[in-house]
Amino acid sequence: MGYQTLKASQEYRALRDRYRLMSMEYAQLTRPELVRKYAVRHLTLNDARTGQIIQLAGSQLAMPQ
Amino acid sequence: MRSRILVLFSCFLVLWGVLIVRAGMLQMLPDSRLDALKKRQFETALQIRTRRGAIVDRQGNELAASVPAYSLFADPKLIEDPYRLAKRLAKEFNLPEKNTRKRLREKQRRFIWLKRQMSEAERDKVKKWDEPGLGFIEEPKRVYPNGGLLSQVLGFVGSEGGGLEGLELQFNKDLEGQLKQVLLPRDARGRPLLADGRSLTEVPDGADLELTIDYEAQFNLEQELRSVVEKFDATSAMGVVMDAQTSEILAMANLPLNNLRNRLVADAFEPGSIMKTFVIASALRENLVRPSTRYFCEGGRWKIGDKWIKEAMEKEKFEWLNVTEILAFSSNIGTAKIAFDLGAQRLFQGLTDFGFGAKTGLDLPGEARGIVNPLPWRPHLMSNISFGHGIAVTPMQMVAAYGAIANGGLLKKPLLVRKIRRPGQEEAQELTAQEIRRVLNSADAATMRLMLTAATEEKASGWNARIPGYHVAGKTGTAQKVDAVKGGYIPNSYVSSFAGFVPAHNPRYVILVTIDDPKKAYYGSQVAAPVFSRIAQYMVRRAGLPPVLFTENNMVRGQTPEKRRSELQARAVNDLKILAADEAAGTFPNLLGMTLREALTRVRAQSSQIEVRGHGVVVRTIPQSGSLVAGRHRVTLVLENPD
Repeated sequence: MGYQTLKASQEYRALRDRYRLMSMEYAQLTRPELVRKYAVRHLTLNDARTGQIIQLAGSQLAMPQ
Repeated sequence: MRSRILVLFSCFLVLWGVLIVRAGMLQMLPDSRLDALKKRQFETALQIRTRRGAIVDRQGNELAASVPAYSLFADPKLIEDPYRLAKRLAKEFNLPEKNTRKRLREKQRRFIWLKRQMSEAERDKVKKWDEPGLGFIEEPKRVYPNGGLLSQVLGFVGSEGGGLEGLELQFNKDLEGQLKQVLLPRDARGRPLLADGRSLTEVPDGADLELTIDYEAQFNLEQELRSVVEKFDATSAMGVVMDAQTSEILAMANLPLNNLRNRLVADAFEPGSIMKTFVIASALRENLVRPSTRYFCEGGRWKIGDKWIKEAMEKEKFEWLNVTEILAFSSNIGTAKIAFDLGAQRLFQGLTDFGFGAKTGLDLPGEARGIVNPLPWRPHLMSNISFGHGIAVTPMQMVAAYGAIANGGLLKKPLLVRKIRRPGQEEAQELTAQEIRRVLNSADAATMRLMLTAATEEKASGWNARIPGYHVAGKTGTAQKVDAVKGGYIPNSYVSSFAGFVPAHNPRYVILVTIDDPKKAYYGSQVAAPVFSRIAQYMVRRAGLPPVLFTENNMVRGQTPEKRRSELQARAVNDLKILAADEAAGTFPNLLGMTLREALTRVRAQSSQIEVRGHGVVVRTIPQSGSLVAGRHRVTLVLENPD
């Protein structure tokens, strides 16, 4: 019984470690620096220039930001 | 004779009796000394390492975490062919072959490390070699998935896993958790016998920390500071974004990032004119001045004792200014006169009440107090202090003080860690910003906010900090830089700052930007204020705060849905006509100056393959506009940023 419990706990730990590794991989892939680099290089996007974004306040009014 | 035999027999009987009784006592009665000896001989203590807790941002994004890693060790006595093994290790893992071979040949040693913190894949590769004498120990490895982001705040850990700097050090006890010790029976060689596997089922984890930091705001802040350092060839830059109401730090950065010292808390600097806010606030709370109280600013020069004080810009020759204008135009003489009316004692009290000269209590190690000279102050020192020289403050003290004005008059301790999640506990321990003291009543705080708004109006020093659609409150600062070695000030070396909050009348964010020794320009209004503006714009846009300030000049007229629909239809019809015309003419259209989206709309139909180079607007095309083309063809668009 003790060894069965030990085996199950080791499997649980291994799965948990795997989950942690994958979380870190996900965090590395979605870090803001990388996202920005990809957006600039591959999607030809850039930081918004002043006035490019129009912010809405109410149905008839808008403010270029 | 017989009696002698009887005596001897009796003696032997007594001795044997004592021995039997003693044996019986040893076997049947408990004895703590023998128990301890037994434990030492038959049991061993196994220490189970905890998994160090993770650090996440306010949205749960991982900033630091521990992942399993495997450290390779060898027992040189059991290694059969050290030459071959050393060569193999050098080839696979880039270890120094000569040194490794030498260590593997030391047969008297029973344990040597070969490589620490290998990945699972590397471990599996070594396992396949099936080499006797090699083994692995699982050790956690600390990973920072965002690279250098927030590095000075997070800190780092040492090779044994303990925190050495930053939050890793400050919260080391919580993060590392409690070491679990398990007593197990052991064999003749001292190796633990796992008779009961349950003792190893629960490996305790350290606590997780949830920060107040927003990692996207942090990234934006670091980008903006990097950009201003490059643009003005500055030595360094610092910035803080804090929630005005809760005093939660949303972003804090000081560049360069490879400077491990967190200057936002550890370094004090002479702040310059951003200090004037608190001189006027102190005078306001003593009912000494109102926003309209007037002072004569001596035409730009004023003698105090045997020294002259001048305005920051020598061309300024102010005469009569009210207190609001003194703040808006950043008059040194006006502020000095307010300070003299206040008196040294009340000014000292006011500045210390705002938190200067004391630690803010932020959860980071190495915080400095700054320098507020003790009383009495000579008149010249007092005038200097009034415009931000002769006093040293940390950026965090400055942010907390502006926060007190923004939130209605309460000085609070800035907050960096808002939750601690301990394993086994359902509810996380929540932390909130502690109130230190009330420094202003709400009416005076509102008056200060109004006066600081004037400091960012047209012709005021903070005009470049404006954001279209929002009132901004804040103050510029341009301070001469202290020469820490020789004393005095470094010629032509300045610290440019802007401190403020937005929106002015219901503040959401307090922001401080400080640039150290910019070269191409140095006034706070030229260097720091535009950076404040960009950071503040990003924050208000991200929060979705609706703009409040509308004029005819900056309104985009709305359209009724029917009008909008018919406009879109007309545009679509026009586009189709242009496409048809291009096809009929057999020429490549003129795309110069178009955005990528517009250009793709024009050429998609006639292109078999489109290559895009660069970003911005179209500056060149292959084929060139007007050239003859037939059927579907390859198109290359070259774009450049129009700025």
